[in-house]
Amino acid sequence: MAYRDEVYWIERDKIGIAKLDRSATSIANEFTGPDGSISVTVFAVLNDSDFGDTDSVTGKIGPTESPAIPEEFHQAIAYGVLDKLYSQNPTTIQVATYWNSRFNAAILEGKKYANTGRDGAAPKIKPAEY
Amino acid sequence: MTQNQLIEIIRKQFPDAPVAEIRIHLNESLDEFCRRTRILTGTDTFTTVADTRYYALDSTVSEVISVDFNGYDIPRLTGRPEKRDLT
Repeated sequence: MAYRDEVYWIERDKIGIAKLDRSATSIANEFTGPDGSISVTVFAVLNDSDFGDTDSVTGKIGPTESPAIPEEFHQAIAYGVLDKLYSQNPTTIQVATYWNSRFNAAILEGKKYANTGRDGAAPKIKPAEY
Repeated sequence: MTQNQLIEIIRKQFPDAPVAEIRIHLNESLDEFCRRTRILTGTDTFTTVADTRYYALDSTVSEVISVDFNGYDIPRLTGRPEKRDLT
């Protein structure tokens, strides 16, 4: 049983927040609000910033800056690029396949890294009430 | 490893590839890596406006894990309210 009346949902790439009235007698007033000036924190899986051509730009990774993903996976990004570049030439498709397999192997390692939750435990599935 | 170092690695095999093209592929690969591994997590914070239901998510958010409202975890609604309010 949730003790908060507010609920959230995702729609049209936005987050919707409303207050649920559990004693409402009609659909029209089942959801209201939310109240104003309330701080909302969204915990999320994020994409890294994009690479840019200038340093010190918010939301960009400059030429002398590094991605936010762990250092051990930085080279995997190069594997992905080599896969794409070799794929452009039909005579080097075999080479592209090699780099694609290196990229996919790094992604598997990345998934393991992300799923251990830094404590070595198995992935956790959080039950939801709704 | 910096962006320049990544470009240097790629240019050892593709010395004539334009930096702009390499950068496009770097962005595609980085996005694919983050999306498939779900390796990066973080927060996006905003303040509600009274009776305004919808708020834009930061462009880096790829999957919402949970939401705190005034410091308390709130449940996710499956679907959306039947009475539509697009504000």
